Amino acid sequence: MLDFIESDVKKGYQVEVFLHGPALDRSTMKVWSQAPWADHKSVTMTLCEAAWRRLGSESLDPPGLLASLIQFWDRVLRAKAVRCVGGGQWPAGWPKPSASSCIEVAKGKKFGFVVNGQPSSDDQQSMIELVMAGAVLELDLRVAFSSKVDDGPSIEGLKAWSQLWDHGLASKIDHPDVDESFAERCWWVL
Amino acid sequence: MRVLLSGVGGCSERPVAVPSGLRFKVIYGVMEGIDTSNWTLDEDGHLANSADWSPAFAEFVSTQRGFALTADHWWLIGWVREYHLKYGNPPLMRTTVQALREHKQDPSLGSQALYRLFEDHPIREACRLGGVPKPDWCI
Repeated sequence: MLDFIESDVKKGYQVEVFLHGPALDRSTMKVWSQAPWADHKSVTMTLCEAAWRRLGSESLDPPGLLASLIQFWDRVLRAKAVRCVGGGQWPAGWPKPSASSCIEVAKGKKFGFVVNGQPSSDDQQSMIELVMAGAVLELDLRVAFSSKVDDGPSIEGLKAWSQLWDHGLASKIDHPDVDESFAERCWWVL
Repeated sequence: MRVLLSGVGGCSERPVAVPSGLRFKVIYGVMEGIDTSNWTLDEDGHLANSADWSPAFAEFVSTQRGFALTADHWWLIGWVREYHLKYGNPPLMRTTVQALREHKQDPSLGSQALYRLFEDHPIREACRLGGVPKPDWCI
């Protein structure tokens, strides 16, 4: 990701980095703050407000702007392109959504989330929050589970995910083949 | 540390032993014979222990705030509690509006109907009165 940002900065792009969930811990932020482009005027770093609060860092000055996940989605929708990022590995055997892994948002404003393997409950919660914030803005959202039930999220985890399809906030798919707009989506991987 | 003890007959303060660094309020009072001394609130006014919730808690808090709970308030409180129990987090406004439309069988209803019940942050207020923890997110 650091390489992507450096490359985009060199191309003259305005880059906004939004850290949420597991991306926001002290060691990661140290890496970010020491990156060669950290003070570059074309790079803005924004932190998820709730994730920052969970660090118990309220008495410290955040190393970036604080924003809600609704604001995150608003910025995504106004961005020209979004990097498909996330902490997980893209499922083996699944077609890559884009060779450059950079999707132009204007193509369709469609987003997808892949849950690969057995993420921790904290990681799952952060992803669910991200999806729910997108659902507030009534975006076209899909969630794909790459694992079989026994290897996937725990029953408790699935219970939290199920609110998305129980209430029409997002659709669940089991394989990219069943998503006709797969290639147009920005995918996040958990 | 000073802890606010507010009862129907007024408010008083007395020292209470609580873990260092934490701020709690303890609601105390008697309402129609109900002893409320076990209700401990966190700093945001939510019950510190959801298991302590009972309908009397919602009645007590609403009475203290000067309004009576209607059938629609109770529906919203029940919906929020049920949702939290099932999924582990409170519902979105969007989801709650859908549920309200189904409950009232009136597709014309919108979020205004919820704001009429609680003028400010209806879901959060329903959580507070329903003994549901304050959402730990920024949606």
